[in-house]
Amino acid sequence: MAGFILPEGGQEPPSPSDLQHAGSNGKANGNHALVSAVDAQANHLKVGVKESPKRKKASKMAKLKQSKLDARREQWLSQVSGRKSPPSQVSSNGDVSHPCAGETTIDESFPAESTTPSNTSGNGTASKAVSFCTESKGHSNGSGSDSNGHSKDSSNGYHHGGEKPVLRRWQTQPALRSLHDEEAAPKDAATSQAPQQKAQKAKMKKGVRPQEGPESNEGGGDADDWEAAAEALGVVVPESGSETGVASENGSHSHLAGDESGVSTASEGASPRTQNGYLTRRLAPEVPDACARHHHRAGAGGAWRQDDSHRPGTLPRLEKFNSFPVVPHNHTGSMWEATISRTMWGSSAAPATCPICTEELDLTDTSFVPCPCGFRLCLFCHHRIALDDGRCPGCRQAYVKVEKVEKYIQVPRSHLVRLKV
Amino acid sequence: MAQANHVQTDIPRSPNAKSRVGMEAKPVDSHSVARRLQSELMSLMTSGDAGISAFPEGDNIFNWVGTIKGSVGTVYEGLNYKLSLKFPTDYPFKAPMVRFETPCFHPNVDQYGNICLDILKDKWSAVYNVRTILLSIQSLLGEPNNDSPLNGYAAALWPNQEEYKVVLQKKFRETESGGVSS
Repeated sequence: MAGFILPEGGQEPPSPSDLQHAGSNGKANGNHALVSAVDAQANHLKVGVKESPKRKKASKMAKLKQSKLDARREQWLSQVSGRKSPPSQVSSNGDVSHPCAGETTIDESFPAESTTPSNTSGNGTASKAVSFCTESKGHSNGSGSDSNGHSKDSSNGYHHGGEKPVLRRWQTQPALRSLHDEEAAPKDAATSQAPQQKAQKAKMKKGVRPQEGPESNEGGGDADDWEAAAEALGVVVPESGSETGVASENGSHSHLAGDESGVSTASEGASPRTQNGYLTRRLAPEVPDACARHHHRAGAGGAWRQDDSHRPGTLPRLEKFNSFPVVPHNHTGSMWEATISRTMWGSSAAPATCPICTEELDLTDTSFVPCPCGFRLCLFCHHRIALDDGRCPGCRQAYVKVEKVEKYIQVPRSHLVRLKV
Repeated sequence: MAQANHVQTDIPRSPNAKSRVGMEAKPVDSHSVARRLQSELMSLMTSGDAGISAFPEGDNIFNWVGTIKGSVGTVYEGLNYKLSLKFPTDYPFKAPMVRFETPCFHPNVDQYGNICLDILKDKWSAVYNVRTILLSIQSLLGEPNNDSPLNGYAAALWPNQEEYKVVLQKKFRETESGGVSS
């Protein structure tokens, strides 16, 4: 896996475009299969949460998760919008092995659920879900040959996107996976064989990790997963073992993705292509990230630190949570609030008292910046000065600028006059 | 001016907005002025600026007496000047009246002690305070504005610093002895 991602390091995250290609290919079945896979997971997870006794905790985590989700969505949206190349173009010269690699990387996040029947029995109510979701779930719980057949069905004549669910379930079965990989990517089998083998090795290493056991045995494994996800979301994962750290963080990613798709399932009547495109966007960028993380992890061992230089940007950061855009509460037209910090009086530290009358500044006063120089004063003093002098005490410039703007906003007639002029 | 018109339309929060009729006759809250002056006194006493000092004269906090020492390196070095500061009731929106009580031979100070300083007139800003006023006057002593003199003789004499110093010392001694006698 690590060796695989390195050769294409210079490229833009390859899998999003490829997956998008899969999504926009117009093959309805392929799209459905892709959506169904994610939806199945979403249902899987959601049901697990519903049945878990730690429901309150989960809802709290859901909030936390939602905030992170928003931040990441923004991030990815900006990335995707920045990349103007149409998906079809990418697919024409792109490697077919990319989607496979990408999918398998995502798959790491679903080790226990995919292979253990106990987990699915706990989530038996998933059958309530949409038909194709349960279908894919059935495949995922079925034997290797079963899913193999499914993959053939879905991928027959369609793009690899259709094989995604199957790949997903195979990550703990290296032999079958390699078989499937050859099927899935016959065009570049020769070129991508070596990296894939490396990836398999990584998989096998992962397969024996200690966390899998308890996860698969527990009925409420999902709830635990949620906690792990929350840990990964909130702070740096304190676990000592590198592999478990990877698992929990991956778990968080997958939970996010899964839940997102679950949300989209609710509005399922909408076009599946949009969902698909959105999902690919959501899921795909994690691919190189996960690879890189694994690569790094192999050497270092240990959870990512906040200040780690190699820390992937997709991981949650505490600063992000703390720096959610807080819109300053403006009562008047202090539209230069942002630029003031560099001016002489500064906006960062609003004085506790009015420099003119030494009265304490209340909330309204502190958010009141009547002059671009950033000089703050209380509304009373500002009113006095505006009546008399009309110049800012801080810079001796007339307050006219503010007044004009305020006036034009308030009085439509003068606004019209201004338009004429 | 259009500014005066629209000023009355906005900022409805001020309590004075309703009661006020014109620009004059401002019912100033003397308490807030006293509060501001007290805080200025506190900051002035804690700042410990060398060469300037001020304190209210008697019980009236609106009348202060200040002292300024001539800056080192100027012809006014070693000379102490007494000033009076009278604060209007709409201070700090209006500048205080500052005069030299000690007669001062200076291009920008007339025979009555009136000071020609822009920040005490049109360049006044509500952020100025006693400390900044006194520091400004102190620096004015060493750097007069000879283009708009109140004391033409001093302004004419200023380029010749040696002679200026002689005249200044003489005048100061005269006023000192005169002040003692009176």
